[in-house]
Amino acid sequence: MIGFLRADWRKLRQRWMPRILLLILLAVVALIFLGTSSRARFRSDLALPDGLVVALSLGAGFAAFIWPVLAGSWSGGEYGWGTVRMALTRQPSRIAFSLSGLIMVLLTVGFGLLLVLGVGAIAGSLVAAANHITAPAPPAGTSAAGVIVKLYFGAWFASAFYAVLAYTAGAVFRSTPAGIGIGIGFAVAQSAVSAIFTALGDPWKSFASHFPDAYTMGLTARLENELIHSGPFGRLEPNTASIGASMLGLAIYMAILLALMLAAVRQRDVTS
Amino acid sequence: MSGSETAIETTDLTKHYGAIVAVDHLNLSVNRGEIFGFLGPNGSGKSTTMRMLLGLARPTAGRAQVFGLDVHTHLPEILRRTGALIENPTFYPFLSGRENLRVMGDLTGTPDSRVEVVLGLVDMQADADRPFSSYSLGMKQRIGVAGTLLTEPELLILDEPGNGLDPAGIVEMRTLMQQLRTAGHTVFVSSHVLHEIEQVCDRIAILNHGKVVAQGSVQELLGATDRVEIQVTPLEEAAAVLRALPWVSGVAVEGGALLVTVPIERSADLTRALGEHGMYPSVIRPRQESLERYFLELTGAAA
Repeated sequence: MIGFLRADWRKLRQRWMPRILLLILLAVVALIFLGTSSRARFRSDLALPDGLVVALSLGAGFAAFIWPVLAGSWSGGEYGWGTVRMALTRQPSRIAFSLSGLIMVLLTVGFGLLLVLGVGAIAGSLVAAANHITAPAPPAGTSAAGVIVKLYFGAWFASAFYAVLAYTAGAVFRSTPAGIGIGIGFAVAQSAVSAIFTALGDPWKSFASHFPDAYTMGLTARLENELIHSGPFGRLEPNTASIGASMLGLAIYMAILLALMLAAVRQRDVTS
Repeated sequence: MSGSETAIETTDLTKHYGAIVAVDHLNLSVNRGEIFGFLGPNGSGKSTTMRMLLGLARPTAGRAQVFGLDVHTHLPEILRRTGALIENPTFYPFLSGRENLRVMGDLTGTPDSRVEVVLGLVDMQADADRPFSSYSLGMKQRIGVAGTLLTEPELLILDEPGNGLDPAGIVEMRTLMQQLRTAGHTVFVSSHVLHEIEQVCDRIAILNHGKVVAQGSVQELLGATDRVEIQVTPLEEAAAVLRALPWVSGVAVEGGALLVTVPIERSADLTRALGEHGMYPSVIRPRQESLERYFLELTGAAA
């Protein structure tokens, strides 16, 4: 495993794609801060420390469109380039090979969210200074730092689902386009199906409340709501899943995906 | 370390892909310290066999052993002692040749200093920092071969290592394989360049439709021919005389001579039979086959 991690770290450092994706993510977060700051009603949510919560929430919100590109190309690329053959004729552990790449993707997600925090800190400070505003005091008994730390890990966990989904698709279908397409396509399809199910009412509506999207939203929205209670960033829908249910739901989905991927890579021949 | 004298041994090794039989009860034995040529037309099962030896594909039936160790149960140890290049060299296009070899070094615990050594062995030091995607096929092949040498393996499994190499590169590859043999390494190589195989291999196996149709040294296999070339006049009359002999199984006219298929120990009887009809051969000799002709006949690819 150590050998695979060392090799993947070397690949990560030399690869341009993660840097480009991070730049896109940071640019989007910065632009949303800029756009939101023009609306006086929401401006105070951007001042620190609330701005950090907003930044993390945005980071998690765009996860479904950013990380599938990295994750799907990472796993699918190994099959597309045939490098899986090169790797497995040096170290035969297929499980270590698969998990090592995924670990590297998830570390990148974590690093990306740290950078998002950085952008949020800078942008929030600039908005506050330019508009002479301060964030409202946190609710009694609530530590802003505590919420930010929890939300950082919550955002990472929610983002991880989309990375795991795309990584699995790339590995199972041995294709970069399949990994990226299924990763992003799932997010889009999920929103559409969820809206249809909600419109149909029960029992369909209750199915939609167990979609991964409901859990990723639930996890970040609940944590966000601990610090921000008003405006578009702290709003809670009536059926928003609890933090515990969200984490359990996402963990089950990710475990199923990982099991599927590991079963596929363990059983089948390497024909790439 | 296993003390087996056999580097590779397969017993009834079989691989099915659905209804397709890629490898059919393959029995193969490669001795340590030899260069063993693995020949066969496209789709004959060469790469599949190599994949099974390296754990990339699982046999449907039968057994494969490397260094006397079962591939299924001792794969990590086998791979530690083996360098392999299967089909085309596969590396990360966004990394340079040097960085790709370092990635391989990471996987095997090989220090970066060894990367420089193998780059020198394949004469790629000058271009080692260029992206792999910018290399010519021959350069990619050199990096691929360098990768197989990283761990100083006891066994090299090379699938078409001459692909994309220019004539000078092919000669270098041949020299490299001979050097490796001299140093005690075993080389298991497949190639379509039969002339190269003929020059460099100690023994060969020819595979067709997943089965070994011939196995042995080049000399043994080519010497085993039962054809005799006879120069005699008049050609057609001599051919008619020989065709009438019950122990002659074929007579062909080729290049102004007769090519007679006959048990080699009955060559003298041919002279006698012709002499009885007043025809005396000026030349009679066993026909020395080329590996290419032998290969084409065995695999039926000539048609």
